[in-house]
Amino acid sequence: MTKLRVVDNSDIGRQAMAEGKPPKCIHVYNRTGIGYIGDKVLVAIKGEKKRGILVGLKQNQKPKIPKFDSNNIVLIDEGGTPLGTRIHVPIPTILRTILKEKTQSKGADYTKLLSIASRFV
Amino acid sequence: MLSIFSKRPCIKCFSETSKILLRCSSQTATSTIERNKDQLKRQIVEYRHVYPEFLPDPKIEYRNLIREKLERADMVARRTQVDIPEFYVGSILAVTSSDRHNPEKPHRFVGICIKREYCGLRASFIVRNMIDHQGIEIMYNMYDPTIHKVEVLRLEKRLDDELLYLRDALPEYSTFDSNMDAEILPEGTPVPINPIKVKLKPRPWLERWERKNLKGIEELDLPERFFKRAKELEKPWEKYDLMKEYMRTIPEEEQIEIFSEVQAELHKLEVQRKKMKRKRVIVKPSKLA
Repeated sequence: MTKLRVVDNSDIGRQAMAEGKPPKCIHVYNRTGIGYIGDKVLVAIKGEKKRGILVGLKQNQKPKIPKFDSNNIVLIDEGGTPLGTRIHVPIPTILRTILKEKTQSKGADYTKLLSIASRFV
Repeated sequence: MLSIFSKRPCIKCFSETSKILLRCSSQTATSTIERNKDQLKRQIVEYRHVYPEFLPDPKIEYRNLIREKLERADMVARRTQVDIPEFYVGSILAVTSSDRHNPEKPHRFVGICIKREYCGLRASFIVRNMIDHQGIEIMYNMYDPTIHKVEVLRLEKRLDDELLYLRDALPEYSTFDSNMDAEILPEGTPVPINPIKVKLKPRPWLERWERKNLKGIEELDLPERFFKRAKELEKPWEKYDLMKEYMRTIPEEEQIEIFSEVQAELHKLEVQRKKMKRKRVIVKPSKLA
């Protein structure tokens, strides 16, 4: 039940952060249940269930991969399209590779998230 | 040997002339050698602060003289390719490195160095900055072949050996402009120490800073029991523990051995860097005019 920070400008995310009720992670879509950078998570936000992508983590990273001061997510819908139109914090460049690998043809397209990022580190 | 010789003229079996001659020659020889030795020693005392990663880990189970020697050779070889300047924890760095995930252009990251650790080729440092009100840290390996350039924008030290408490400090203490210009210190000045005291955010923290005996933070606003417990746990006698000191450090004789091996190369690199610096200083006014 990690508290996360929504870093895009979607309505629901902005309201949740403004109210001081940040979303909580209730599931990680991988085998270990430990969320790493680029993983998809299910979050509880304002009484709803939404999906998000982890785009910045507090945990120690490998060399040259940025470590953030908060656990950041970007909310997406079923098809991988982000709910917001802009991300207002830097995004690690490694996500380009990770999200490209995770995107399969005919499946969800996660690379749309990269096009709304304002800055990469 | 020579010092014994210099005492010998006192023995009366020598003739007057030979006595004088011997004394003169021995004195000059000893003085020059001693001076050289002194100079080398002084340089080496500096070197252990400037190049701490050349000293191996003093833990006995990690020592391997051949590996250390090979690593040192590799480190010097890398330093001839890329200029890694002198910097300390608290200095502001700009690291330019190429990125596999964004092959078009190298990425430049500006920030304050908050930690230096490990030695040999594994030496690494952490650079921290606030970008868009988001704290970001990147750890770089110092001898990473993807690093293009390491610039020191402001050369200074802080009061502590590690600045990890900046993670719990107010954001203005770790915010640095990414378009900052390098500040050039006049040659020969000692590295300035920044006596800034950082204000921490209220608890919860990542670590119990009140127990760390930090000098670079302001008075903490905590209940009495925290300081009481910190006092119980502190070990003020450890600084008198000679055995611990011995196990924690590399002996001076060994340091001299290590640095005299790489001294010639490092000195050459330093001279080269100074030349480049002078060039840059000359270039600057023409830009302004």
